[in-house]
Amino acid sequence: MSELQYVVFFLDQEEYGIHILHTQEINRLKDLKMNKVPNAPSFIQGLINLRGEIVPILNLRERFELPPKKTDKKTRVIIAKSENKVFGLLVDRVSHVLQLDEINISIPPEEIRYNTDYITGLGKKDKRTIFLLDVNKLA
Amino acid sequence: MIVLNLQDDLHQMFLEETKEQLDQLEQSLLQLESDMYNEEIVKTIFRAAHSIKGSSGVMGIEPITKLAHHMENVFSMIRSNELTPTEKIITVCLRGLDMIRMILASLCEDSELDIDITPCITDLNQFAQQKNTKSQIDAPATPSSHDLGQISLALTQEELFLCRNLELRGELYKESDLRSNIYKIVVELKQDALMKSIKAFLILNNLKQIGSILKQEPDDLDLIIDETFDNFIVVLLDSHQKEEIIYSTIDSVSEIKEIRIQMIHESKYKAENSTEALENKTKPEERATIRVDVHKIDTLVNLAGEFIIDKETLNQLGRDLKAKYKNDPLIHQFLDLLPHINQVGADLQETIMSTRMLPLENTFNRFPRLVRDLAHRLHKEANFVMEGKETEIDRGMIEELVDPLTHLIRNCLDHGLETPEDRKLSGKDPKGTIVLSAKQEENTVVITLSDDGRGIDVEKVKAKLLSNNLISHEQLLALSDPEILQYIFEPGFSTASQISEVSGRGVGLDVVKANIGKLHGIVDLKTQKGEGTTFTIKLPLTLAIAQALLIQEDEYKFAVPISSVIEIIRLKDDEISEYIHTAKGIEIFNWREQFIPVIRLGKYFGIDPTTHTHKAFIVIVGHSDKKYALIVDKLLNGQEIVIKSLGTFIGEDKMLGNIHGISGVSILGNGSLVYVLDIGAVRVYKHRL
Repeated sequence: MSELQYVVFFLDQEEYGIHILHTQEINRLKDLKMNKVPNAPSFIQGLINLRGEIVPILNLRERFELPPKKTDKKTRVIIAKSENKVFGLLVDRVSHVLQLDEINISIPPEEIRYNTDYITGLGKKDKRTIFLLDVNKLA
Repeated sequence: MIVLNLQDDLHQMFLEETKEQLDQLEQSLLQLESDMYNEEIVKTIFRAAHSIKGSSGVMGIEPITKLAHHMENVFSMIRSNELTPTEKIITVCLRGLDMIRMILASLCEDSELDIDITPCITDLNQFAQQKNTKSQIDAPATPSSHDLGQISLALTQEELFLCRNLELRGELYKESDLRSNIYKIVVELKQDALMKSIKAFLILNNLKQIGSILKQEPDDLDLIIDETFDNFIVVLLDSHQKEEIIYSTIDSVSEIKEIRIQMIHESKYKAENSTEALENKTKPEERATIRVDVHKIDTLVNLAGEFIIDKETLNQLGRDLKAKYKNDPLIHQFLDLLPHINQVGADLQETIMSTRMLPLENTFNRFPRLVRDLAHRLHKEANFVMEGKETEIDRGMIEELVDPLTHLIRNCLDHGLETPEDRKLSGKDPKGTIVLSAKQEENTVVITLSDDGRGIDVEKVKAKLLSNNLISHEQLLALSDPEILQYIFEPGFSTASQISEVSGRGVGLDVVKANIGKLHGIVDLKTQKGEGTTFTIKLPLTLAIAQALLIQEDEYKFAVPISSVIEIIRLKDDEISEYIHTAKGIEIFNWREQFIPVIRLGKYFGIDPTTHTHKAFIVIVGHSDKKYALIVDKLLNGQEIVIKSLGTFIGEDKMLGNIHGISGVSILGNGSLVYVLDIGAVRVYKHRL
């Protein structure tokens, strides 16, 4: 049985997780210089210059159609790596790295999968439920 | 059989060289098809087959050696006029060539080899048996077993002439030029010596080290085939060395029966300067080149890019520091250094970019085969002409050009050219002509593909546009013929009523346009019904670094490549109404009595202009056939930018969506981003799609 590690973050009231191998780094929003992109979809927060690499930042609240929230000092940008691209995820706050046994991950119900194909699993730890995201589907 | 390991330098070298030889072979075979009696081409083919045989033999790849050996056989017969080249032979050889390529590919992937080479070899053997007995008699007799007496040390007429020439040269030139002796050397190899051609090559090579060869017999080493070679090598050598040294030089090669040396012209100047002369002689004359991993070049380009960015920052810093600490001598020292850094930066960039430039040849050379095969399949006759394939272009673009050009050429053969019967009926040469040409014009490379086919029927295009609902009837009436023709580059357009294997798979010229657009290029066409069509592709010389004009709109900064800026105009408020007119929301600008559409950059990109100034900057951008008048808020400076592609993020179904008009970004000295405008992809109004 294998244990999987997830970076857990908050959006609104819910907890989400990304596999640790798909995360490159976590930055404070205020440390990044955001450049807005004209004519881009609303969930694109902007582009940043990450040490010479151009990285687009997704506003995950906007992407998941959650009510907008003012950024604060807890706002973080998770730099994620998919198969062939690097992009950032703007989230409310990052809490911790979670170890999950495979046995504690269940497949989400059909309705969830149909509407939100980026949710690949539901993680259970104590009484918490964590939405596990597929980075490749977000990109 | 061995598996080719790409990590192994030796294997890598073998692969690269064999690929080159195969390309050479393919080209020459195709050339031969149109020029059946050209002996030079036959020789080239023979040599290529010979070296493929040799190198694959060393690597122990038996099927390749076999195929190459049989091809070599056939062409050795053609060369000696024992066999007449036919289209059939060329077709079989091309098939063999494809097999060799497949074998190589499967060896690289370590996959099971299931290529049956026997039919091809049988065919080749059959050709070899169809000896052309008649021409055998006419053929110039290859030197056959002379006896020793025939090759004497006496000078032939030609040799005498050479010597006299040399004496003449001695009079004309400075005395020091004529310090060597001339020897006639006859070497006889042993009858049973192995690999005589290599022996001969070694002997000649050794002699070249100590002098220069004025004449040699046989003069073409490739002619030396063990079976027919008569074991004699005759050399006229111009050397300052003594006979003994020459003797030992030759004698170092094994299996030599006899060496005879005779001095036939003695230098008047004894060899005091001999060492110096030796140095001069052995200096390699070819330009030295090395093979470099392309990733290293790419890294260098990136590093140069970083350096350019830093250089711009340094310049900015210099200006700021100067303003702040005007009288500090350290600042002046710093400022004195900047021009040099700028100069080095420019040279560095230019040199590195030039290493990335490759001739278009590599791309173009695959097309004759494509045209040949397609024409056969479509039962059409085409004469394919290529011009300017030595034109150089960034290697990043070479690969990207293959698909669009292939598509255009297919299109050309499939839709452009008529069948030979139709062509005859309309009074044309049944053989159509397709010309692919490339040339450099200032900072662009222009590639044109023209045919003398039926041309594009504008009426058909119109009907298609209506039936595919690409455009309304009213819109259609408003458009001129050239404008309508632009619609063939729209997605979902294909005039061929039947979807053929060759072209017209729904994806069409729109893909060509998109691919060229990605390279910051433009594609255009001209057509004359009944007379033919010409496609023109214009590309920038290099992708990565460009001079650009910076524009600011609100908080956004944009960069327009200088290559597409035509003119910058400043209009006062009261002049705006005089020059800019509006019809149903579309604005046009009267530029030198030419009406061109207006794009208000801020509005186009959905940016609210914060300031309303009483003047407007108009930047005329575009190219000869399509221009736009950009109205911009604020003009900044012009500067060098390093363009980073956003290709992985911009486009249909991609993260940032389809942002028409932006192709990449560039990082400025202060770390902020500018968006690089892609004028070719700007759209003034939305098409109904």
